[in-house]
This record gives sequence, structure tokens and C-alpha cells, in this order.
Amino acid sequence: MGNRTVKHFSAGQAVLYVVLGLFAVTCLLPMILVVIASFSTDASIYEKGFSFFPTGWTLDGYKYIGKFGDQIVRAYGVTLFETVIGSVWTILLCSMFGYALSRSTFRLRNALTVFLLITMLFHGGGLSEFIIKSNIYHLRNNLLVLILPGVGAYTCIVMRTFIKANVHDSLIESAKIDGAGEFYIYVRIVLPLIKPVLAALGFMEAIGHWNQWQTSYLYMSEPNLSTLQQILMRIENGMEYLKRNMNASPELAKQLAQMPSVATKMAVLAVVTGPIIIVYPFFQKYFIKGITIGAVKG
Amino acid sequence: MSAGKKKVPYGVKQESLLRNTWKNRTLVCMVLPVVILLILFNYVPMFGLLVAFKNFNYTDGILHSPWAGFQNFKFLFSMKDLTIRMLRNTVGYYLLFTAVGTVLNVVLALGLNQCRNKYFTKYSHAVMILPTFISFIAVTYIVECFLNHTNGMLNQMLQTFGKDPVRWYAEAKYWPLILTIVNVWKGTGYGAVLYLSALSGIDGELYEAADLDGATGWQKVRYIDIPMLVSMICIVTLMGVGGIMSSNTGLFYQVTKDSSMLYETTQTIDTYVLKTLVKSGLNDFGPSTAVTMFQSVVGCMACLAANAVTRKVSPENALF
Repeated sequence: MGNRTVKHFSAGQAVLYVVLGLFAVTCLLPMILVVIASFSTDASIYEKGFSFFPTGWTLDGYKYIGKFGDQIVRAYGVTLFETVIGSVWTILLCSMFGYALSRSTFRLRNALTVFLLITMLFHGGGLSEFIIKSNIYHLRNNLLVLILPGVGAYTCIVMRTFIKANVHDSLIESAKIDGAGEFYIYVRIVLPLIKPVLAALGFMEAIGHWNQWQTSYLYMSEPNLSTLQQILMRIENGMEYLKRNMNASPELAKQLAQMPSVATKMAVLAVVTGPIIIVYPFFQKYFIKGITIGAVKG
Repeated sequence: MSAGKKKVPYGVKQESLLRNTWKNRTLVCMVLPVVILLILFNYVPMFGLLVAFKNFNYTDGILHSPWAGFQNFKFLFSMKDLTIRMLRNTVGYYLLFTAVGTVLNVVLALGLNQCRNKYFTKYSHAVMILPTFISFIAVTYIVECFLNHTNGMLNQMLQTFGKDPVRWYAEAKYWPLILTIVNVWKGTGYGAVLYLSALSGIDGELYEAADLDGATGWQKVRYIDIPMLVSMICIVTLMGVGGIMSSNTGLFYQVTKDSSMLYETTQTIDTYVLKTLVKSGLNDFGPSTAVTMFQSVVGCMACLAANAVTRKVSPENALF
């Protein structure tokens, strides 16, 4: 952008690099600390505390995760199910809605926009939602509660804005002249054109599902339906929860008694958070676009 | 939207709403799933707020529970200390986070924009955004690595300097600072995205003109970048006003480990309600219903007010 006149390396730039670099490192360090703690021996943590330079290294943390295999694998299954189905479903429904709102020949669209905006303005609040979902819909310990309520006004409006800006009306009109129906146009013309926004919103949606803890905390008491975040919440103060929930043989119980508890805890955390950090770089360019569209009203 | 109205003069007779809807029945089918979901999970809970005027119990449900009039509200305001504390914390943190967040987001965006090495900008910014995508449960773990009484990094450091360790999870006075730091760590990289995109949209000719006039780098920031960001700052702030009565339970409930000794500075309306829900079947259900009613109404009014102001300041950015 600017600053084309000054080509040499100035002191101001140097300071800028240092400050920004430091902030980036600060953002990353806590996560590195977790990884290091997951490889540290308990002795090191008790003696030296959490440290970037532990006195003893061990792989035991990860080895012991395997021992709880079943519970963690099941939680992975529930979380994956919620993340994949929940976000695909939400994104598809919202994009259909956004497409309908973007059609200028659809006269119901103004009423629908108002219908959407009201949900942004007024909320029933957590308590009322809880009573309705558990007392009237009976969604407690039902996987549907993790998936169904995801549809939101914001996603729909971003979809509408993006479709309006990127799918020209004349394209849709000419497809209509060729005899294509609205649904056919949506699937064959609109969806391929809005891939970037689908990726951006889909990623945000998926992250939201993966990191969600409150819904499971409130509605899922069944251990079989626990999500990964719920497992993390329960082992926050120790590994007792996982130990209690496995019918360990006496031998295994003896082994578990020697388990490095802090390292295992941190290893579980690393295993739960790792996938996000691995997937993130692939979606980064899309989601920046996504946020930017969201702020510009069409 | 205006495009639709402009088409009328082409001579097409305005058809009736009913006929138009029938003609677009495929579109109606396409919007139906979202409409149904919004009714089920957004509109019905709005009517669920009725419980604020009821003596709610689970067996009778919302409709059949006996009416209580303003009993719940009376009860809420009789617990004056609790109510004032909740409100003060909720609104206080909203203001604190908005002020600190806005300043840091803008400063970070300006800084990143000034960097001449675009690869450095891109990758360092990507790293700064990463904390946004980490769950609050993970943040709780991370914060504990620093604040744990015996093993935490901070206490270890204090001890090496010969100071007494601090019981962080029992000392309320430190938490406004701790929560602000966590919030800045988690949200600043992400918050800068919008401002950065606004900055990259500035016409390069402005800088060239400034260069001709002999402007220094700092002057260009002061007289070009910042004025260009003002409208974006207004929009972002106004859009956030609706959240004045809400708070992130991840931050205030999880990261604080719901430690009751910290309530003085950490309890907000949302954590109070969440707590009520978690230990269900208790007798202070009433005040919770009253407080959510209050929360919804004030949130809605704040939203409407913010929108009215936006419409005055920059009509194209108003929500409606």
C-alpha cells in the first residue's frame, strides 16, 4: 500500500516487526506450553511447575490416552457427528434461505427479512430456551439438540448478501428461460458460485460445534453421548472421571494409579484441540473473506 | 432491494402477493425449513419468557404453572446486593471489553497495515487469529497452567523472586485484569480482520498525494488511516451494543472455574442463570426468570437504539 518512497529499512519498521512478532509469539506460546506439558513428567511439574523447559520428558501422557480408548473414541464420534452434520445442514438450509431472499421477484422476501431480523433483536434467553427444549420438545439426551438449533439470522443474511453480489440476476433469468426451476438453479448455478462463502461460514459453524460445551453440559447427562469438550470439562480437576467410567481390571487399575495425571490431562487437551489447528490453515483465506462480507450490508 | 422496485415501470403489472407467492412456491419450500427452525428455537422461547410471571415447576410446564404476577421481580430486587453485582459486572465488562478491544483491534490493524513485508503480515496475523478458534474449556486449562496455586507458572515466578504465592482462584481483585488479558489474547487477532480489510480498501492515490506533500509515515496514519477507520469503528461498536446485557459464559463460568470466591468481580447475569439451570430443582428459579426477562428487554431496546443511531450516522449500514 503506502510508504513506497522509503525503501530502506527504517527504525520504525524494525520496532513494528518486533512488537508484532512479540504479540504473535504471545498468542502461540500458551498453546505450546500445553504441548510441552503433555510431554512433561509429573515429577517435573510438581517440582518446577508448568514450564517451557521441563526437567523430564515422557510419552506416557499419550500412552495412557489409549487406555481410556473407548470413552474418548466415542466422544470423538459424537463430536464429529455433531460438527459435520450440524454445520452441513445449517449451511445448506441458510444458503437456500439466502437464495430465496436474494430473488428480487419473490415478494414474500421483505416479510421474511423482518421475520429474520426480529430473531436478531429479541431473544428468549438461555433459561426460557432450556425450559422449552427440555420440557416441551423433550430434547434431553437427544443428539438432535446439538444439531437443530444452529440456524441463525446472521448466516442467512451473509448468504443473501453474497449471492446478491456474486450471482448476477441475468444469469438466473437466462437459466429460467432455458426452463430451469428455482431449485435446479440453486443447486447447479448458485451453489458452485458461492463456494467461498460456504467454506467460510461452514468453517465458523464447524468450529462453533466442535468447541460448543454449554449445550452438552445442559442437555446431555448420558455418558455415551458426551462430546469431547464435555470430557475435558470432567477431567479438569483430575483423571478420576475417566477412571471411574471404565470397568478396569485390577491390573489396569494398578497401571492407572501410576499414570502421570497432568501430562495425560494435557495430552487429552492436545488431542481434542489439535484437529482445529491442523484444519485452520486450509480455511484461513476463506474465513477472512467471510467476516468481511458479513460487515457489508447489501 | 431497490432493484425490485425499479422494475415496475417496465410495464409489468404488480401481481398480488398471493399470486406471486404461488408462482414462487419452490422458493417458499426452500425457505420453509429455516422458518420452521426459527419458530421452534427462536420464536417459541420468546413466549417462554412468560415464566417470569409464573411460579414455574417442571411437572406443570410453562402453560399450566400458576401465575405469580410480579412476585419473581420482587424477589429479584429484594436480593439487592446480588442483583446490583450481576448488573454491574455484566455491563462493566461489556464496556471494558468494548473499549480495550476496540483500541487494540484498531492499533493491531494499523500496525499490520504498516508492515512492508506482506508475508510477515499474513503469517503473523494468521497466528494471532488462532486463539479465537480454541474452545473456552481449553482456555480454562491454559489459564490454569499459569494460575494454579502450586504448579502455576506465575506462582513459580513469584517464588523465585522471593514473593509469596497468590491464591489466584480465591482473590477476586485480580480477575478484571485476568479476564481482560484472556479476552485480548483470544479476540484481538480476529477483531483486527475487519479494520485491516477496511484499510486495504483505501485508495493508493491518497498515500501518493500525501507523499508528494512530504507527509511522514506517522502523519499518513494520523490523517489518512485513522479517519478512514472511524466509520468502521462506529459500525462495529453499534452492532455490538445489543450484547450489553450478555456475557460469554465460557469466559465467566469456565475460565473462573465458577469459583464462588470470585463472584464479586466475575458473576454476570448469564453465569447466574447458567448456575440456576445446572443445579435444577432449586428454589431460586424465580429470580432467574425475572432476570432473563430484564436481559431480553434491555438487550432489545439497546439494539433498537443502536440501530436508530446508525441510521442517522450512516444509513447504508443500519440493520433496518
